[in-house]
Amino acid sequence: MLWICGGATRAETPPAGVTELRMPRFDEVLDYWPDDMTIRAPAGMTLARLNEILAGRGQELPIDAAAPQRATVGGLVATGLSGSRRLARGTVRDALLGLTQIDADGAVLEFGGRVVKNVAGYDMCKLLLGSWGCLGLIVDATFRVRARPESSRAVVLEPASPAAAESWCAALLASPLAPASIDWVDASLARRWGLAQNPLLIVGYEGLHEDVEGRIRRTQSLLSVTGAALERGAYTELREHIAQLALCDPGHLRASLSSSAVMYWVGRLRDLDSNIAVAAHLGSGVLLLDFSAAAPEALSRVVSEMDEHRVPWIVPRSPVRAASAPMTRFSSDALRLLRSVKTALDPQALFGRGSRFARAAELDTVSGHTGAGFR
Amino acid sequence: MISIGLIEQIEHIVGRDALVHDPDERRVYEADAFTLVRRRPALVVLPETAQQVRDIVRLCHETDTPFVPRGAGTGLAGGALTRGDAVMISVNRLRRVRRIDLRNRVAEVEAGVINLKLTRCVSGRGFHFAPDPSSQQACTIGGNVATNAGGPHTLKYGVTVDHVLGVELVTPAGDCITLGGAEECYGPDLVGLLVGSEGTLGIVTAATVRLTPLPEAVRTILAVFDTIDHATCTVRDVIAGGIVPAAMEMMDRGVIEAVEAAYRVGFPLDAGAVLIVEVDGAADGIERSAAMVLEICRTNGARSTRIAKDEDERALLWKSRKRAAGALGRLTTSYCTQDGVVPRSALPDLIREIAHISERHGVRIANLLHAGDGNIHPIIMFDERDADEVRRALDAGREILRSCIRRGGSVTGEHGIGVEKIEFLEMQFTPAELSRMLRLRDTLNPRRLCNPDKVFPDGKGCWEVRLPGKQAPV
Repeated sequence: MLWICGGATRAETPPAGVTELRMPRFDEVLDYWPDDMTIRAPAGMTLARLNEILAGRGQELPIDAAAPQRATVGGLVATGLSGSRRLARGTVRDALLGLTQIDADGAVLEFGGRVVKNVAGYDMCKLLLGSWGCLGLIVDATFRVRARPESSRAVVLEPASPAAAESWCAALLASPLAPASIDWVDASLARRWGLAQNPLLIVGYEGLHEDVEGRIRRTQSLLSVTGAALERGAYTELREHIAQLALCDPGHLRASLSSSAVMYWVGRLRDLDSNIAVAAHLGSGVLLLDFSAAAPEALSRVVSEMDEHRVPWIVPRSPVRAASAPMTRFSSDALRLLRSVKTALDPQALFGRGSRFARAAELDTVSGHTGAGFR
Repeated sequence: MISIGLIEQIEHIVGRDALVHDPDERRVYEADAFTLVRRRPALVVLPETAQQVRDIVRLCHETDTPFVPRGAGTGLAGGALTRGDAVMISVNRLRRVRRIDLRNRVAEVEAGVINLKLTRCVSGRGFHFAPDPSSQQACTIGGNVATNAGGPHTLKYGVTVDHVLGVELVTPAGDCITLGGAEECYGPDLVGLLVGSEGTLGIVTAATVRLTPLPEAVRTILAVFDTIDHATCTVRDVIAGGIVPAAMEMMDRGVIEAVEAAYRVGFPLDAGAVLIVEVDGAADGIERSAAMVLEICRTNGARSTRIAKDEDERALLWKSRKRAAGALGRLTTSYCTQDGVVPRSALPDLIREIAHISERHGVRIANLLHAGDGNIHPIIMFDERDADEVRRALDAGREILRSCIRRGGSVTGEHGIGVEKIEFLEMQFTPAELSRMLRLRDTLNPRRLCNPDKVFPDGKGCWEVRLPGKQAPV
């Protein structure tokens, strides 16, 4: 039985009798086709290293992951989580073109490829995306990369209330301004990062100089507000701060909402426990919670509230205070399909047995016989 | 071929009006836009709701009757062909737009909603559904999801899967399930697996899709080149230069001739190739983006370049592109459109090789390309009364696709495998890779009743291709 570990950011240890597999030696770039804007990177390479290589040709993989110095290519794919700039620059899912994997039979399989359009057969790469080490070992991944934008800046706004933040976000999303990111952070985080005393709405833009300048100017006139500008370095740092929330101890929860529901939930969370620190990729409806200062029972209270409203959530990192807490919740439809997929690809539950993800998806007990179908 | 009892039960679910039983009326359904194989379905059903689809599938499952979903029948790979003993389930009457939520930029639409109709529903309010296959006036969202459809503007905006957040699916055993729907769904991307599975894992009855704001500014550039080589090198340099146009489409001399005869766009008939490059976005940066593209065109020896001066001229350019394959019908008795992909930098070499293949096999080949994506659509022309020429046309097509694989590409970028390309799947994947896909299919569609004999080599023998015939436009 195998327990695959990338940058170890999920802070979980394998149960007894399960072998942990790390791939730090898989860190040499395999192929880089800068003219095609694609790269094939090994599972053990860190995101920081990958972006260093790409920067040599003025390119980047614009995924804002937590701890890019630790986050690995394999981990990026296995978690499938993306950060601030998803709004305009895409997600890991969008960037992933191909994968090499080793499956439960020990076979080396290549799915997808290095072309940007490909509909031959099933897109098996999609199954490894977000599989948390439970469906196979990722050996390398081929990504579509982007040109590093000439300009990358943000404007920092101070909405007077959650309602103001919501209406600004709505106005931006309905406009043709196409921000790269619309993030919201609460006052505690704004203070923690030395930005302000009040909640902030940070609107980022990337592109040609005059394009970014113009859109920042028009953002302020659209919303009838003035804000401070963040230059490339400060904008990058802020995105990293937000992404780092995923690593906070003793607990971090991430949830996916309608963009328009985020500010409602911000208020709701305040009522549950005002010490939960909250950030959001507001434009995309992704909520990021930090429970470090919150009461011990806050996490489970939030989870049950979200379950009640059928909000998808995940606790990607094993929470210190509630190690037995579930990692995520699946709908019964997804659960059934997921178990069928596991039955087809890893019937002996070789991968990820005993992990929080396998428990949440009930994958450790697949029947082992195929052909049952899914109803 | 199916029992009277089953027909009566299906009629009980959907009503008489929703059955097509008359042999002549069923003829319409014997092929999609891949016309080399024709099989008349035993019965065609036109349900109006997902529940009806579910009940029909349940009946088929209980009676061991194969069934095949069908959208608008615009597929070019035969994905909607039926066997003579199968029930065809058309999603055409599942036409409700269930929800439009512009604040959150999503819509929930049923499978039979026509692609362009969805865009028209929201374009007045500044949005569109970005995937725009050339058949968008007819093709359905259900068909788009099944084939992971593309289109010219996928270069910047992505293909169908990039715009599908969730699906409602009737499983092969007849359960109606919903998957995804949110921006992030934690766990393996099941929705991503279903998109492009060509109806072999169930029938999509509705989808939650993204709506994309219309760009504020658009510049559509037409560049004329003496040789196709100059044009493909331009494409390579635009991509390598980090510019992401909304679209980058190419037509070679063969296509130019046909298009001019049909639409009088004003393309010079002695040109080797024309390139349509569209850049879009906020108004602030559009002039320089367009200027950068124009500069690369000139550096690569463009004979002339111009920017469409108004919406009418832009519309004419796009009409010429989207209806180009249809225009070719005027020049030849028959043609078949291929669909292959290579890395963008390999385009110049591939196009040169296609010219050699054309020469070697003695068949005319015109090239239409979603060049920015490395997606080629060589159109092979022949006379279907000439058996030898038909054979040479088929051989030329095979050789082109083999060349795509050799160059690190794929045998289909947007049309799908269907029945047309089953043999090529074995060239693109190892037996082990194929067996994993088959395990998935056999787990999720264990009795293979749902769209049987498609995509995978175990269905190969069921479809005998006789003569290449005329196909619908790309």
